[in-house]
Amino acid sequence: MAVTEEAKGRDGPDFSALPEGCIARVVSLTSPADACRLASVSPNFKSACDSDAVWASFLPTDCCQMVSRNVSSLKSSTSASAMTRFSSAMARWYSGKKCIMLSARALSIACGDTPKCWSWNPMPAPEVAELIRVWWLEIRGTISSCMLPKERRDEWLEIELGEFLMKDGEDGEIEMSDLEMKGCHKKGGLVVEGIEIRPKDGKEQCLYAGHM
Amino acid sequence: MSSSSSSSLPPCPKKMITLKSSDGETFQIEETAALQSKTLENMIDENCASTPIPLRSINGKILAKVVEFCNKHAEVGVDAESLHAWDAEFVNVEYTTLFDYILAANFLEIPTLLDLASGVVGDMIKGKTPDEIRKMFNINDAFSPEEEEEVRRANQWAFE
Repeated sequence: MAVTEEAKGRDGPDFSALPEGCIARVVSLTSPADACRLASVSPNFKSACDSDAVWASFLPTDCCQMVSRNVSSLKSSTSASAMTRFSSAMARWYSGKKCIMLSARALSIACGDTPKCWSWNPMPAPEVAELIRVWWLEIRGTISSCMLPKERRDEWLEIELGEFLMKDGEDGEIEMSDLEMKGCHKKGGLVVEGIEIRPKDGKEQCLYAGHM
Repeated sequence: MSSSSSSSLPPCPKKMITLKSSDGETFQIEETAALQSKTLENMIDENCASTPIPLRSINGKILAKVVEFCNKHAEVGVDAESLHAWDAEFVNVEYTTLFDYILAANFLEIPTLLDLASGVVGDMIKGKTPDEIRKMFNINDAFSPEEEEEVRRANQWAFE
């Protein structure tokens, strides 16, 4: 197959004759995994593969809120690692199971705006909230149920928050929280990347991704 | 395509516009078919389509095919299945011609043709390694081995 394709058009223009926008169009009609592999074909391909147009076209259409949030955070970030993280999130998405990360910024963190209690660090990308010192630990996240959709290889540690089952016709908001506010223990050093919601054997499971 | 109509209604005069290719060939196309091109639509709207429209980036061979595509897609009463089969035959060409279709569709802003040709090229590169793709399309502006390794590392998951 490849041989005939190769033989078919040996004398004509090559891919570099196409403007970046056209290469991006071709790439957007493949898959996220293809787009990431194609980036190493040539510098031309890389800039096409890194374009927002390609990644916006891969985003699932049934999840507009997540889409706009991820695309806007991606646009504001020039960090390659943010792109890589986003890519692997997309890979997990395309593994057939929806998973959504509520970023630290999207969570409601008690005293999150008080620099003495929490510090916000852009590295490691994406931004994380690092606990300096609080007596009242309260992290809450909410997600609209209409947005619902393996073992970690990175160094993040997960704290399981719980699991729940979605039934057909159940619409509403799901609230999740991580609390320690009895006030007996001083807490510090926790780094929160976000709350990840992902399926578990057909059920939706709510997991907390944190780093101690 | 036929200009004489057997219908009992009085024939409506079809508005034609003329396109001129880079190598000087001229092609007549009905305005209704030409409207699939946003570039031509804008020219028609601005009354710039009364004289032959020069298309300096598209040669006669390709322009003939683009006109054929627009005519087919403007036909009334073609069912989706047979149009799909016609499209498949239309893009059953060597990849350099596909690139020409993409360039022409991009210039003329014909989304149906752009997506059709891009989709075929997309299918050709799906699941292939960068090496296979460079070989298949004769791409020479590659990265240095170090640069390629860096790009590859950033997208490691896609190679697993």
